[in-house]
Amino acid sequence: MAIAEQAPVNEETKKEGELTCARRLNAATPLHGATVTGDALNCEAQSITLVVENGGDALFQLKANQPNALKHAMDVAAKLPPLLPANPTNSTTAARNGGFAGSIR
Amino acid sequence: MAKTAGKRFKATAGKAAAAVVDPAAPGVQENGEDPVSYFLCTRPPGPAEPIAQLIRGHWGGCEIRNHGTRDVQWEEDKTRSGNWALNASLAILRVALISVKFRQGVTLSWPRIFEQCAHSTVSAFSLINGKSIK
Repeated sequence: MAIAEQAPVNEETKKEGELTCARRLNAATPLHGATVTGDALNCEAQSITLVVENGGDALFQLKANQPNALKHAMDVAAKLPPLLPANPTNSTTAARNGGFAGSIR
Repeated sequence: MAKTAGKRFKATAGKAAAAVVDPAAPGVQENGEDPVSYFLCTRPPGPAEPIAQLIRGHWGGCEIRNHGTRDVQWEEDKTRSGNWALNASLAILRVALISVKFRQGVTLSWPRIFEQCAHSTVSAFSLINGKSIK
């Protein structure tokens, strides 16, 4: 376990919540080759975009706070088999072949 | 979000995928909870094991060993002190203590450890010196 960042509270960050702090951390930390995990609170467009733009990958739990994405994931999971290919050639092919739960576009 | 996020993903990572984890744990449905968990992931599709390890690692390491211990059990985030140096120093000590417990493979609960260390300082020194306690 490591402490990624510590900073004294100032007027700007006084009422900062967990999500804002996580976004700031994701923007400031080099994330190349890393996968950032988080609970459903972090599962929103801005946080995911920050992680991806900073070179990392995001893996966030999807819950009812993102109803459209959750419904899409449930639909995809209901239609495709859960088995995954050992070495998918690319994401599009794998998704088309039922190798993954699906793509959200 | 799917539409908005999807456009952004196309501009950045180029892909976004949904991972599904079904713990199939007995009793989950009895509690009225959905037995299936959904995750949004930007990694390319692949074997489930690395994703499962990341999810277990997040809940075991970040949520339970860190947040569950420091904030829920020890109420670190409810501190009334406005002294940043004090809060930061105590946070470092707590993180160090959690790391020591994890590294020594101690499976006792925190209340049990505190009780044992309060009863006998030998247990506390054993932990510090890299020995496990029972």
